[in-house]
Amino acid sequence: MSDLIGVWTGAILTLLVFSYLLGDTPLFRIAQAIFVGVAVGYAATIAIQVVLIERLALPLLQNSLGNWHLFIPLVLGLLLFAKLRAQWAPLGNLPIAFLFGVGSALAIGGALSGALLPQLGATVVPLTTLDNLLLVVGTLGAFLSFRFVTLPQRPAGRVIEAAARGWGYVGRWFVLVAFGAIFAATAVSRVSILINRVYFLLHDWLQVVK
Amino acid sequence: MKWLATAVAIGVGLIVLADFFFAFPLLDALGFVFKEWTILLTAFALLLGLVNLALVHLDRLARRAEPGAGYSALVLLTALTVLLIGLFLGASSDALAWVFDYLYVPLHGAFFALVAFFLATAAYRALRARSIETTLMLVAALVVFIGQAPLLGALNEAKEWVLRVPGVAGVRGILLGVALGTIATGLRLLIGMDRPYSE
Repeated sequence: MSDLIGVWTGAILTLLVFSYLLGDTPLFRIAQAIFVGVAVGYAATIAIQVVLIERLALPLLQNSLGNWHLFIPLVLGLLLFAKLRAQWAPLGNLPIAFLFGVGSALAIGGALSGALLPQLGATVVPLTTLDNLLLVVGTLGAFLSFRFVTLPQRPAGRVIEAAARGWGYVGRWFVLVAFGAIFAATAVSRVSILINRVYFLLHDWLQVVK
Repeated sequence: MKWLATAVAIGVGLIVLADFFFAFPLLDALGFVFKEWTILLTAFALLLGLVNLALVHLDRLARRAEPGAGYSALVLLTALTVLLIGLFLGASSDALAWVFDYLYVPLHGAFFALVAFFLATAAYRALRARSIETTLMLVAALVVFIGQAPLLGALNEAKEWVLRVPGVAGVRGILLGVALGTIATGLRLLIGMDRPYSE
């Protein structure tokens, strides 16, 4: 029974969202409001139950002396709520500073080990085939196409500047091809989701296709 | 007070960064504890954001004349219902699973499916722009898009080549720039040049 109600609810909500194809209708706004409400309620449940109760409240209640260090994030977390009132807002800077400190350190480590070094390593390939040559020229060109500095106007600086600008111009073409590929991949994934939704309506709800 | 926030950001950040590169028992322990605290503080920050969202909608409800007050009431009512189900019946309860399967998934899927229509419109507009750049982008997109279907072997090979050579080169160049930008921004924060937390 609950599955039947669920299928009907899901189908009606799907149709409410698709009503946007006719314009910004009140039906679409209702679906939007329900989506925001469900997402907010679900996120709050996970944050409270899975993180704050299981990893903070329970350890503190069971063994507050042994887990004394958890009082620090508790106090910092409560200080965050000072941000809700303008005159208390500076009190919330401390937990924000903590988050920025850890966040920037993790971002540096992640960027180094997850992006910079592996991508540079993968770019160092023998220039024996046309594909490898295009890969190296394209990678460096795409990188140079996002260059927003100018070198000092000395003769050597001017030569390097012109070379970098030319290479960056070639790299721009590679970036455009990459954008095209990303656009197509996004379109494919969205069309797949659309097919899934239409199949849900025709198979699960109306039961007109097998 | 500002100096304390700066000291906390620099001190904590340098310890976590050092833990990333060196294996010392004390650094490992401190790094682990700081990351654990970060998870807890992120949950608090998420709650703060949700409380702020609720306050904004309550404010809109208080001024009933404002258009959209009914939608605000719907947002609050749905959020409160889901939260109460989650808190009283548990995050792994059948009731919350029902909410996820029959409310969240259909809505999420339908909203994402809607993007397919906007992408088609965007492609049409790009086609009408008639510049070399947009044409190149669209040709690459078409090759990848049609190449997904097993219709023409040659087009499938072309798709593979576009993804493997110019596609990878373009994305890799962007990734290198993003990584260098992330490192530079992170270092500026860790040496105290940027202090967004004390604004």
